Amino acid sequence: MKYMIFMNRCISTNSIILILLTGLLTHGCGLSEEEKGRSDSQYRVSDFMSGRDTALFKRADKPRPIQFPRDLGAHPAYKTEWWYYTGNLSADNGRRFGYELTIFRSGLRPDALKIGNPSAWRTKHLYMAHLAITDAAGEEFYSYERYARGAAGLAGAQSDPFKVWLENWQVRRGSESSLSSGKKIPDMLLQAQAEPISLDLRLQSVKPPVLQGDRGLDQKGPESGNASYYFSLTRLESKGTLSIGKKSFEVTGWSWMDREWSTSALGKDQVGWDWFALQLSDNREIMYYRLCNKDGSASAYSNGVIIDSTGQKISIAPDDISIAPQAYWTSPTTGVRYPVRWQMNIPEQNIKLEIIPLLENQELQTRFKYWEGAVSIIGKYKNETLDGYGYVELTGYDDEVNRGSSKR
Amino acid sequence: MLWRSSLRYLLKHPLQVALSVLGVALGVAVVVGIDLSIQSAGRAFEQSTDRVAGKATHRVVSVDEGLNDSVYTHLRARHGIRKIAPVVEQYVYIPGTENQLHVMGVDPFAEPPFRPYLEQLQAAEDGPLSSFLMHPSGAVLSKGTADELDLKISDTLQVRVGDQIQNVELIGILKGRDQYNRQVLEDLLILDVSTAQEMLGMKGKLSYIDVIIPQSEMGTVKADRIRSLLPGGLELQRSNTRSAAIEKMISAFKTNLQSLSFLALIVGMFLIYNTMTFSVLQRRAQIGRLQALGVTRSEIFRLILVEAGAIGLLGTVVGLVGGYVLGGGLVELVTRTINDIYFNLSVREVAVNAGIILKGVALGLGATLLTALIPAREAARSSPRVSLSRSSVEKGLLDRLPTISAIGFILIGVGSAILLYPSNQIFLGYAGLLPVIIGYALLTPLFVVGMVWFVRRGIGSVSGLSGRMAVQNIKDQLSRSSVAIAALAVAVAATIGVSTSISSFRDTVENWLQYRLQADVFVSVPGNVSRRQARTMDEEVVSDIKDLGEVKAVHTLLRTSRIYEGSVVDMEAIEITLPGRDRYRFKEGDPKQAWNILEKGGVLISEPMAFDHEVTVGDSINLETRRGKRSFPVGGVFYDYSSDIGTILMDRGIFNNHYREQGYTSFSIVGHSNVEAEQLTDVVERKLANRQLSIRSNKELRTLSMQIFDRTFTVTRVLQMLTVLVALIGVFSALMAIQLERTREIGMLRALGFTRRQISGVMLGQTGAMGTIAGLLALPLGFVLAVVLVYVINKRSFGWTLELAWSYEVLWQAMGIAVGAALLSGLYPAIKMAGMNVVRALREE
Repeated sequence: MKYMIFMNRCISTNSIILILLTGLLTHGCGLSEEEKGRSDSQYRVSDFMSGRDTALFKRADKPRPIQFPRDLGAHPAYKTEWWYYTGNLSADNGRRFGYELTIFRSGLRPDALKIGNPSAWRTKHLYMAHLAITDAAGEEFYSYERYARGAAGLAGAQSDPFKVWLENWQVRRGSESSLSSGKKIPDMLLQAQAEPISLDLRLQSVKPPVLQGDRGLDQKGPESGNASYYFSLTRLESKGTLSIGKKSFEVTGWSWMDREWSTSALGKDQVGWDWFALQLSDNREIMYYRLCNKDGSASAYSNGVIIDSTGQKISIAPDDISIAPQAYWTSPTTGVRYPVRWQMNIPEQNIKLEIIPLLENQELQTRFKYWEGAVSIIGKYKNETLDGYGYVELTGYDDEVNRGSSKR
Repeated sequence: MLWRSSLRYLLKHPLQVALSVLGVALGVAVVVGIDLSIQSAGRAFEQSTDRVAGKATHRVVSVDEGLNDSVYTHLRARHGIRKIAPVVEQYVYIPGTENQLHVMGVDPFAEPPFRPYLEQLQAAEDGPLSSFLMHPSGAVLSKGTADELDLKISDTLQVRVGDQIQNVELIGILKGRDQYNRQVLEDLLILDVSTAQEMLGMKGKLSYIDVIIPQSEMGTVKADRIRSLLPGGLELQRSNTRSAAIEKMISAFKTNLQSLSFLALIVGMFLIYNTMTFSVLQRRAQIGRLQALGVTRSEIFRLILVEAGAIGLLGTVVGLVGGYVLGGGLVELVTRTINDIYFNLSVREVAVNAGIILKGVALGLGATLLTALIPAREAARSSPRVSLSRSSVEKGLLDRLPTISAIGFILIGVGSAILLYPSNQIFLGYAGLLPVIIGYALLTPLFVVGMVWFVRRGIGSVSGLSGRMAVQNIKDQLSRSSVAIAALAVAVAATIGVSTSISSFRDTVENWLQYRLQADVFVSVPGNVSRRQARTMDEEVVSDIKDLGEVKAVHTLLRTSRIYEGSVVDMEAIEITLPGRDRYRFKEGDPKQAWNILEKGGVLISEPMAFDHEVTVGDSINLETRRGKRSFPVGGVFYDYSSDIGTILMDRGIFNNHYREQGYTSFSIVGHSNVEAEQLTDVVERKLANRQLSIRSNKELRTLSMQIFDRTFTVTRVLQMLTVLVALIGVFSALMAIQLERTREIGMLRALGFTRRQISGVMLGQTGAMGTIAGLLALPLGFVLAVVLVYVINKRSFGWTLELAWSYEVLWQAMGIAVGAALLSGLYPAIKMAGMNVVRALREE
């Protein structure tokens, strides 16, 4: 999801605006065919790629010290950022669940405000959030989205005490004492609900933050500034309650948080994104993303890391890894065909993994649809059996032509 | 053969038929026109309510208008209550005009479930939503309104908000996807909440929060949950609560207009009765012959009814078309009145619906057939031989005179009883008036006979043969002349009644303004004098004025509104010093005590308020305040003619304890005794030059108030004139019929040596006498109507005490109308008769 909407599809400005606008325009079908044609062309994505107002934002063009708790909060000088939580949970009776809660911020033109004493509703930021729950045993996938202005207390992000929220979907710092033990990352309380689901978790980071790329500057394209600041909390011990309807489950498991901010990351030729966040039973994690070019080839800027049990990272270059789809699933809603089962090999590390979705249907029914789902892992490290859980995100598959599906 | 003879008759008397049709048509047109205008106003109101409410079922409102926006955040972000939307709402003016735009400040993220018409934004170049949120003065208009104001995207529009001029920039245009949506969007200026708050000076405030609550058990739970989360002074109510209360404001106004329009129809009915009676009488010979030929009574009865039906149908069709045209004119008058005294409304089109058309048809046809029943029965009942002689009919009427008169007296008695029955129902007032009018009309023959007897004895010898003949003729043709006289008398009486009640009202208001407007200069937020203002002036304006050396005292007023027991009432918070207090006069309660109670936290209420809600001195009224329901003792009931919905007067200090509304809507300035009023006005004007405020001297405000008063009654006067017009047509057609029927008689007179002049004299004398009788008859009825309108209808409609102002002028005018109208309608037959061919006239029969 992340790059799809925020970086690739709407590289420069007005990303949420485009989403909202599209929603507003298509919702009522109040337009005649002729008008529809016009507005489509009027809002062609390329129109929003002028870079006119991205020029007003800072760019992620050089490594910059990542600090806590500062960088947990918002970075209004950059156009886009997100707080991305995914996790695999299990109830006392072994029932498996996956969850995703993501809050995005998109900066509007930072120069536009010239109001002396503005209303508290006046805003420079739009927020969007996605919430999804995967109930493996119930074979149900729930997904929701929300939008709000970053004003009037409706949505926002702050670093100290840490809190990011969109209405009553929120992640905030737990008790103050959790910080005093000298940890950089405080305990976090994650709460979100949308009829009929509700999630209430306490997340405790058991490993230090992983700074992706070069000291947290993660290059996504050839140009300077086509990059993002990116750090991950790859192992968050999670405990709490998950409810579906009247059923309530005490759950435990592992979550993963990605924190990323930038102004312009993807290059023009990059259309999609396969992203893997895997938490292995030997207390290691693998993060790997594969950027896909228009012609269907993997971009040279794809990359990843393996985090060992102490939090040390080992980089994975595209040449170090092979990822092969094993099975496909076609969405009945969108007709988009997603690969849903993968074989991942990292020969140099002696890792061979089979990645299997908890459910095939984990396509979010949000305004822009994409597949993001909980997966289980079975595999081998050297000769030992290995297993685990993780999350996979697949975007850009709706545009078969762009994606060059024939090659996949 | 039967039908052909009927058709032949009708074609032979085209003028007669045309006048009947016109009579029906006018009656129907007036009723339909009024209904259409009221209906259109109602529909426009509904639409304006609709566009505001959208799909909301409920809204969170504050007891004192406007709530803290943190409540919204609390509900949504903290408690996750969805399907709520913040709204900042107000009316702004196009500077220098009375044209208003309805400002809606909304949050586009919360809107989708609520107002479907916001779905579509035609964009400015860089994305409308972005501009909508970011532009400090970005606004969206409907296509229609933008075209009307001649605005394109990125044009600037000036609006007046309270006392300030503000610029808004058009960043988007909404095209409604269908007719309804386009209408809903008219005059709507849509802004982002932030822009609206800034522009309207409502930072931190919302007008209300819209809520969608499903009609289900879960809905009840949700409603209860929201209620439990609301801080004091806020309540969750159904969306239509306020609009229902507002609509109630004009119910009395509506009833009165409809009743007046009905009067025109009643007068029209006289006319139809007259026409049909005449046509029966004139064909008595023919009918006799038909009966002799074996045509049955029921066939004759049907024949007459079918004829009447044809006239009725034709009249109704013409009336419906006329009503539509009339409605177009009336709707403007009605809207203006509603805008002047009740609420903001703009009506764009005359809304025709089947109900109104059906009502018009039913009234036109029904009334025609109903009134034709009597002559039809008459025609069918008479035996062939008797039918041949006209005098038998007249004799019949004279024979029945006691019966008819008795019925008349009984009706008057019944009507009076209904009128005297203590009630607040306007409807009962009119229901009582109707039998009085009809009963009185039934007394006309009796009165005519009496008058003729009296005149013949008294003046007959003086005016010579023609004079005696003229008067005697009236009696001889009692059956028709009395109907004509009655119609004229009713119409003239209506004129007397309506004029007298209006002038009574006017005098009372003028007198009231004398003591109410005592200060020298009045400053208010521009707009209508009487209507409550959305935006107020701040403290600074008042303190600026207080500091002026020329100023002795400033009395401030904040006028707002509350819902009390389901009705909208005005609430005025005043700061008033002792000498300013004599501008209030009390109907009930001792002034000294009343002011004392006000200072101590009580209220004073206006007469309509006391009347509508049946409260008086010593009672208490319960009002929602910021801290829940509070009881306020009523210290006095004061006379007030500025608002018919009732006013609650509260001391400003007390008001501030209970409500948060800030600022003032108006204030009055008293200068030092050595300062000329003009000089004071100048000084104040100079001081407030940079603000958009209305500054008026005492005289100006008084004149303006009376102008609005007169404007308010334009509709009434138009209706009154139409009623008289219907009556005139009735009289004209009746007299003409009578005279034309006398062709043979006149021919005889000519043959006997009467000169043309003498003939004309007889005829004009006769119509003049009829006019005089009608005028005399109209006087008592007019007086009764005036009394009923002033003391019953007005009181029940508005709760006002008016002093009956009886003016001789009105009486002379009425008499003039009666006689003038009668003479005028006698003129044509007179000329025609005088110039007729004697031989042919004699041969006619």
